[in-house]
Parts: sequence; C-alpha cells; structure tokens
Amino acid sequence: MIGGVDCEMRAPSGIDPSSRAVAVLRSCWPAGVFLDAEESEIVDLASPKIANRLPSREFFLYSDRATAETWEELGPCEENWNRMLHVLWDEQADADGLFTRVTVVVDEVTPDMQNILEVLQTAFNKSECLHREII
Amino acid sequence: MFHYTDKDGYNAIVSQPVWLFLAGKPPGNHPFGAYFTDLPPDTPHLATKLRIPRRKVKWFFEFVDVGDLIRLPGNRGEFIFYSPTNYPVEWECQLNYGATGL
Repeated sequence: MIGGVDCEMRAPSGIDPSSRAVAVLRSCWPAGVFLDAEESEIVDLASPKIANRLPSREFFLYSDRATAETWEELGPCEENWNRMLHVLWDEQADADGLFTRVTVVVDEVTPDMQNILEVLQTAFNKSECLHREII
Repeated sequence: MFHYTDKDGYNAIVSQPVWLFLAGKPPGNHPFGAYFTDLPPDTPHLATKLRIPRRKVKWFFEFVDVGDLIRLPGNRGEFIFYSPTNYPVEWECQLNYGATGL
C-alpha cells in the first residue's frame, strides 16, 4: 500500500520550496506540469499562472500533461516510471529554526533522477541543502 | 486508520473474523511491514499520495488506531504508518470496510 523512494532534503526556512522546485523542473521537463495535492487543476510549468498561486505544501510535478492525466489510474507503471515527483515540506522549521524538511518521492534514484535531485538541492540552497534516501 | 487494497486483498482479509494485514517488503526504500494511512477515501489524489495505482485503493478497511503503528520517516509520515510485523485487528476495533468508490 505504498510505493516510491522517499528522498529527504532540507531547505533554509523562509523560502518557498514549491516555487524553487517549479523553476528547476521547468528546465528539466520543458513540457512539465504542476498539480497541487489539494486541487484538480493541472497547470503547465511554463504558464504565467504558476507564478500567481500560493505556495503549496504538497504537490506533484509531472514530466508532461499526458502523464499527469493518467498517473492516478496507472500508478508507477513502466510508462510513468520516474515521470512524477511528489514533493512535501514542513511549514515549521526544525528545532533551531534554520531549516525546513523537504521530502521528494520518486520511483527510483536512477542517474537521471539523481541529477534532478541534485539540481533541486542546489536550488534550495547551494551550499547547505542536503539530501539522502530515507531508510 | 485505513488500509487500502485491491479486490483480491480485500477478499482475503474480509473473509476472516480477525482482520490480518500481512507484512511484506514494499517497493522502494521502505521497511518491511504492513502499511496503513489515516487519509480517508475522499482524500484528493489518494492513490498518487500513496504512489500506487487506483486499483489498489478501490477497497478499504477502517479500524481504531490504538497508537501502536510507526510513522514512516520523512514528510509522508504525516499520513503513512506501518507495522513491522503482521497486524491483526480484532472485531472490537473494526469500524468500516468495503468499496471506496474510487
């Protein structure tokens, strides 16, 4: 009743990880789309609408619209493998108030996905953001 | 607390007076265990949040959370829990079961 690999990162508190993740994935997946976990509207990462929304604490980033429209039905099948990132982050900073925990769920940490995760880390914080698979 | 499954899984569990949720090794980097969530069936994008296909959330069991399940490490631990061993639920803790309508 659970799938995916949960990768934990941390980002400096006070930033909006969703906007940074959108910016990164726009370059990795030019036809990518965004879906807030509480909403149903799929928004193109290239759309101006993406800049006007409120920060999302939980959202999905898909490589393309077709994948977004079929993912829930098909799940992590061969056609959809590693074509969706599920991102969740804490609203509260950690005990010392410096960082926020961010989890990125993928299907598999392949070399290509590792590259995306590393670019995400860099976007969150060039020197401080750490990521590791949660065991 | 909820457990979601497919038709075959549902039939196997519901046929017994004491529901027994079997522990197994899930895909990815998650611990061996029986997995549960406190997300109800009407949660938006339920299957996607659990990262499973919709057919695996078509049937559900709901039972009383007695506080003995372990939160998944990371942010998905807000709503995903597991037992490292098979997890029996006696009838007095059983609440609802059936099709989710998803």
